[in-house]
Amino acid sequence: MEKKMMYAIAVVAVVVVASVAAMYVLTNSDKGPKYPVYFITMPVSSMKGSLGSGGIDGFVAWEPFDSEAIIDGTGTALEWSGEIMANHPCCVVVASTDYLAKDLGGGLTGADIARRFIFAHMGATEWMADALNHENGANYTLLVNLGMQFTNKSKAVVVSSFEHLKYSYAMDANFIAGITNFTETFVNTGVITPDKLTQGGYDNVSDFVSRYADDNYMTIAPNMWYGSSILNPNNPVRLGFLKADIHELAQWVAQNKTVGGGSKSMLEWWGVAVTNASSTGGYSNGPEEMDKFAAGDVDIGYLGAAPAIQKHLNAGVHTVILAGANTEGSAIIVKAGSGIKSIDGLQNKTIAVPSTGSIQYVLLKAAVVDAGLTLELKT
Amino acid sequence: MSPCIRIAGLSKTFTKGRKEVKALDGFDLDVADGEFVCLLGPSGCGKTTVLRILAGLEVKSGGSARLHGTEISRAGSDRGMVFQEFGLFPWRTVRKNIEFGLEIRHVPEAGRSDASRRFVDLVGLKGFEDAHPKELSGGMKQRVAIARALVNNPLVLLMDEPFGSLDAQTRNLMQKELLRIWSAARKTVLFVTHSVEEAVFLADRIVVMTARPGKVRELIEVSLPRPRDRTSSEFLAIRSKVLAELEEEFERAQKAELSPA
Amino acid sequence: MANRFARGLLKNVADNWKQYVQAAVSIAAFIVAWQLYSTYLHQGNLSYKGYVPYPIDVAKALHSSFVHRDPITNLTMWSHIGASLERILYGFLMALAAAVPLGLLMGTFRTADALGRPIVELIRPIPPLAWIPIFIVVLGVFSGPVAIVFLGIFFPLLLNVIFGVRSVDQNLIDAARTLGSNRSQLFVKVVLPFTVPYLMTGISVGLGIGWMCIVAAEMVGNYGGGVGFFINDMAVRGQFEFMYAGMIVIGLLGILTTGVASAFGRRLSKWMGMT
Repeated sequence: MEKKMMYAIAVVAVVVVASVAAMYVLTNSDKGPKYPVYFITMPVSSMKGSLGSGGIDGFVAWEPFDSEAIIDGTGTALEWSGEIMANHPCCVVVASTDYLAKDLGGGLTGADIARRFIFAHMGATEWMADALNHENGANYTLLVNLGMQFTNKSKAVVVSSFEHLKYSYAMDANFIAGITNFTETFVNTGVITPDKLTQGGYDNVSDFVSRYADDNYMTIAPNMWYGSSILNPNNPVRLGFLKADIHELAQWVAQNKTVGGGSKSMLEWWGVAVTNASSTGGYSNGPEEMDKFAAGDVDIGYLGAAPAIQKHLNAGVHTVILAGANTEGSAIIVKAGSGIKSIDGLQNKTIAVPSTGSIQYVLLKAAVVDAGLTLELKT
Repeated sequence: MSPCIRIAGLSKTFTKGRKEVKALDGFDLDVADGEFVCLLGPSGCGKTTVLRILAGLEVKSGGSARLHGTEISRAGSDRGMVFQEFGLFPWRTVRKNIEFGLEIRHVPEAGRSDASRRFVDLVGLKGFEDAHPKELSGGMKQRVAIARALVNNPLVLLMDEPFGSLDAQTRNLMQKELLRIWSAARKTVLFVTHSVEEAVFLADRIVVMTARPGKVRELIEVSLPRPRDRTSSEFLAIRSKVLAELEEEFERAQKAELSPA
Repeated sequence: MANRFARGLLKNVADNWKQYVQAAVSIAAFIVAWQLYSTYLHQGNLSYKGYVPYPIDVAKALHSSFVHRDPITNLTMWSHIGASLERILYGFLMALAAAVPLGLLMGTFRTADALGRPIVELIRPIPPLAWIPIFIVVLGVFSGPVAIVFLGIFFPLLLNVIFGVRSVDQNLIDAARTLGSNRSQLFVKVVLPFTVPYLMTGISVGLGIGWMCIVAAEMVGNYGGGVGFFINDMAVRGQFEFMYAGMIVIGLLGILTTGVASAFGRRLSKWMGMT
C-alpha cells in the first residue's frame, strides 16, 4: 500500500515539475524574429513637432521637453530614465580652469569666487529638495513659480518635471560610478577618441574621473562667511546654462531674493555677483555651451555631463566639474495612442536622440540592450 | 509683265508709349524679277523698315506690299533675309546653319546634305562645312548667311546693310562675291545701304529716300555693265549725282525741322 | 573603357600641367598656414586649441573614416557620401523638373511671368535653411532635407532659365522667321538651344548651393547618416579632426559634382547643336 502511494506521489511530482518547466520554456521562447530599434539624431526643439506629424515614432529628451509632450497630449512616457539607470547623473556644474586661476585683484582669485558660488549652489539645491518634499508648503509654491519663470512652461509641465528628476549636488560614489560608466561607454563606442585620454595627461578612465570631478570646492575655506558684501562687483561671474532646462534650476533659485530670505539672494549672501554669459537668455545645448567655454565667454556653467566630458577630452577645453546639479530627468517618449507598452514594441520604430554622444542615446541603448534588441541608425 | 514686288502707299507708324514715330508715309516702289535694287537714304529714313515689312517681321500701318501679286503678311522662306549682324546660330556648324530652312520644311537628310554642299560651294566656303560661326571671319559669316537664305530658293533676297560690320577690304571683296553669287542664282535683290559707292557698284536701280517720314525721293538707274570700275568717269558721275540728291535731301530735312511747319 | 578614361585623364593632366601645379602650390600653402596657426594655438595652450587640430591629425581622421566602421552608426564615410548624394540627387532632379518648364513658361509669356514673379520674389530671399524646422515636421524626416536641397537649387535654376529665354538674340529670332519657322519650331530650334548654357550655369550655381544646404539639412533629418550628419555629430562630440575631415569630403564632392555637371553641359550643347 505504501509503495503504491510513493509511486503516485513520484508521478505527480514529475508531472508537476515537467509542466512547470514546460510552461517556463514556452513563455520564454522566441516569439518570432526580432527587429532592430532604429534611431536618428535631431535637435530637441524639433522632436515634439516631428512626433506629432509622424516623422518619428518616439524621442528621448531632457525635461521639460518630455513633460511638455505628455501634458499637451502628443506623447506618453514609455520609460523614465530613472527606470533605465537609477540615479544616473545628468547635469553638472562646470568651471573654466582659466577662470579658476584668474587673478581678480585684491588677493582674490576665480577659485575663491567659484567656491562661494558652489556653496550657493549647494544651498539652493538643498532648498529645492526640501521644498519638493513638502508639497503643501509655501516654498513648494514658490519653487513652482520659479520653475515656470525660468522655463516659460505651464504649471502642469513644471510640476510633472519635478516628479521625474532629483536635484542633488553630491559627487558621491554613485555619482562617480555614473560618470565612470558614461566615460567608459564613450571611449568604447568611439565617441571619445581613445588616444585623447593619454594626450590629456590622464592614465586611464578612473584617473580621469577622479581628477575631472573636483569636489574640493564643496569644503569651506578659512575666510568664507555667509553675509559678506559682494566680493566681485566689477567681475561678475559669467554664468552659462541651457535655455528652459529645468535640470539647471538651481542657479535661478540661487539668484532669487525671496529664497535668500527677502533682501538678498543666496549668491549675494555669499558675496558673489553673477551675470548671464549668453546674450540670448541661455544656450540651446550642452555642446554649444562648451564651445563658449572654449572661447572664454563662460566662467561657470550648468550643462549635461556628456558634453562636459566629451569636449574636454576630445577638444581639450579647459574645464573641470565642481558639483552635480541633478540626476535622472529624461524619458523615452512615444506617440500617444500608439499602443506601445514596452521597449519590445519599439522594434522597427524610429526614435530620435539629440546626438550620438548624448546621455539620451546611452539611455536608449541601455534600455534596448536590456530588452534583448539591437539599436541601429535608421537608413 | 507684273512686277515681282509692288509696294503702294506703304506707311508705318511706331508707337513707343505715348510717342508716335511715323517711319514711312506713302512709300511706292515696283521691283522687277531679277532686278538688283538698292535703298539709300539718310539715317532714320525707314529703309530698314521697308525691308522688314517685306520680310514679314514688321506689320505695316497702311498701304499695300505685294509679292507676285499676293499681299505680304507673315514671315516666310520665300523671302530670304541677310542681316548686318549675321544672325548665324552659334551652336550650329556652317553646314547645319545652311540646312536650317530645309529642316524647317522637313526635307530628308540626303536632300539636305546635297543642297547644303552645293551652296557651300557657291559661296566659296568649301572645306569649312564643319566649322562653327565663331571660327569664321566676318566675310565668311556673311557668306554662310547668304547661302542659308538662298538654299530655300526664295523669290526675293532682302539684305539689310549686310556688309556694314566688315572692314573696307573685306567689304569690297564681298561686294564682288555677292555679284558673282547673284549672277549664278539670279534672284531679285533688295539691298539697304548707307554707302553711295556700294549702291552704285551693285545696283541696277538706286532708290533715294526722303528723311523721316520716308518715301521715294528719286529713282536713279545705273545701266553700267558689270563688273564696274569704281574709278571710271561714268561711275563717278552717277556717284556724284546720287550724292547730290542725298545732300539736298539732308538740307531740306534740316530746314523743315527748324522752321515751324 | 577604364583604360581610355585613365589615358584621357593623364592627357588632361599633361595638357594642363601648369594649372595643376598652381593648384597644388596653393593647397600646400594653405596647409602650411594651417599648420603654423595650429602650432601657435597648441604652444599657447589656449582653451580652444582643440578646435584647430593639426593637418596630419585631420588626414588620419579622414583616412580612418573611410576605412573603419563607426561603432554606433556602423557606417563608413562611403555610406555617408552615398546618403548625401542621394538627397542631393533627388532635390536636384526635382528642382530641374520644376524650374526648367516654369522658367521657359515665365520667360516666354508675360502673363505667366506676372503671375509667378510675386511668389518667386517673396520666397527667394528666404534662406532655405530657415525652412528646416517647418519642413522636418510637415514633410517628414526623409523628405524634409530633400525639400531644403530642392529650394536651394530651384531658384538659381529658375532665374537663369528665365534670363536665358529673355536674352535670346533678336537677330536669331528674325533669321529663323525669315527661314520659315513657325512658333513651335522657333521655340525648339532657337530658344531652347540658346538657353542651354544659361541652364548649365544655373545648375552649377544650384549644385553649389545644394551642397551648402546639405549640412544644415542633415542636422535635422538623417536617414542613413550623410556627410552633413557626420560633420554635425563630430562637432557636437568635439571630435574636430573628424569634423574637418567631413568638411574636406564635402568640398571634394562639390568640386566633383560641379565638374561632372560642366562636362555634361558640354556634351549636351554638342548634342543640341546637332539637332
